[in-house]
Amino acid sequence: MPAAAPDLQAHLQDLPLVEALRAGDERAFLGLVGRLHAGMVRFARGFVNTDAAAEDVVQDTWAAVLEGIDGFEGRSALRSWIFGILANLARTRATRDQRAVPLSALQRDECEPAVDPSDFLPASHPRWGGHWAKYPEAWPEAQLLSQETLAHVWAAIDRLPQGQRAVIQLRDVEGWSSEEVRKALSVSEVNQRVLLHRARSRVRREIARHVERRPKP
Amino acid sequence: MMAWKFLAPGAIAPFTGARWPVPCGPDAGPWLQGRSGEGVHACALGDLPYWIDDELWEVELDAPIFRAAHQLVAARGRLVARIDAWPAAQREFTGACIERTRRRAVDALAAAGRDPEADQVRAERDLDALRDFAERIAASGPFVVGYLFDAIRRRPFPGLCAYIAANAAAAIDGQRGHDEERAAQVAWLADGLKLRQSP
Amino acid sequence: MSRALPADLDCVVAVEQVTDYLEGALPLHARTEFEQHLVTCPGCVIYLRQIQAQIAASASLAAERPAPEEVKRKLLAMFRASRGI
Repeated sequence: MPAAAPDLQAHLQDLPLVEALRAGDERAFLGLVGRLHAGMVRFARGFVNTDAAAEDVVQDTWAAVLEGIDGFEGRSALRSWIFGILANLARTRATRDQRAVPLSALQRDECEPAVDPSDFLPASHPRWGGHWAKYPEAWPEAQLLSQETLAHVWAAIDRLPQGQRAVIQLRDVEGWSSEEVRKALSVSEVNQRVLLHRARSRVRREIARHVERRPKP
Repeated sequence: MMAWKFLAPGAIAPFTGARWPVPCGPDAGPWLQGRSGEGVHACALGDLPYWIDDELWEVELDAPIFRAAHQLVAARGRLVARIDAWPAAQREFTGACIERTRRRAVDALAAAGRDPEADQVRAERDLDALRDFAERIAASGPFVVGYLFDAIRRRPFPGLCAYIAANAAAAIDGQRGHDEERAAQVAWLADGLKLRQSP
Repeated sequence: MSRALPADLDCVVAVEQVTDYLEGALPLHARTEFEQHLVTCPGCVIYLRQIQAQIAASASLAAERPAPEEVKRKLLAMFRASRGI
């Protein structure tokens, strides 16, 4: 029997919770808040200027969720729907606050390569043009999971442009499926992958800079 | 249908990370179903040098089976027996790739009228010294000399070594050279590891 | 690479394909080419493992921090109002 379509699965999984919320079940609501709130604040912070603005946007989102819960049709997972509302409110708030986009972000080449081209041999090399000039170093796992490195990873994610940050947070930090992210952010499958690719590449560069001992030119 | 499969240590599929169940005792292991829509991949004899890894297993494949680029794809497969002579034979295998590349380099240098260098490449027994010499003359030499340097330099990576040897052969004789070198690699594996071939 | 053969995948291209590969978005032929490249390129194997390690590290950043008490109070009040409790 083929697996149920992801939409159907999302609907089935969240149904009991949605029913409980509609019925006024406070424990269910607080449970949901407990699971999502911190991630929501962090997500909103990727769009707006201040922590306070992020908290505001999240509060407004919960209000909208409670207003809309009776009409929620389960076409997406509940959290996708919630984060979708959140993304819209955060973007609106960011526009309203006229968040200054750093000039460097505007100047960034839209087609920036995943890896610094100087890490590869030039096309003029007689046998290995386009291959690694030097193999990258394997990252020691213990170091990667150290508090210090994780702080660097988080700072790197913080510095990403809006769209890349949103996707990588939901996919890699929160562990959402690409389907859920697509629905929450209203992006196509391809766009979601492009954003994820760029985000991961930038974060990787930050980690490499921090972890690898080899002196960089 | 009988075939072969290279796996990472612990009978783990090198790309999917799937763990293949190993046989207990003389019977074949349990069937492993391919992930939906993807099937399991394995090698016919001629595919082996393209997929070199640490463990080599004889496998049985269940229909439907079809051929994709350098591999067989089947609905499911099971491990039959481990080829114990591998990876112990890896060093010899890469050594053979290097020797064939060396002969090509010698021939190419001689054909270019560079007999002293051809002689030195032919005679040098120490591989590190041969590598260094090849590196020194690579810029001025035929491509194959550079590949000889690469093949020796990449010795711990048999899959890479085999690839380099094939490209070295191609540098001299195009697709035909490439195919000849790959066929030599296949013959080495079949004979050297005494691989059972179905009638 | 050797000029005599049709061009194989090189590392510049392979690193751009890693995300698609991990997403399962490469069609069979492209996936096979990518995997073939991995067999012959220890550098790209390391690169792929780096990305996989990075993803695992990112997952450990997920916060299970509880919402502040004041926030929970406000939200609970909002919930009760919306449900007419």
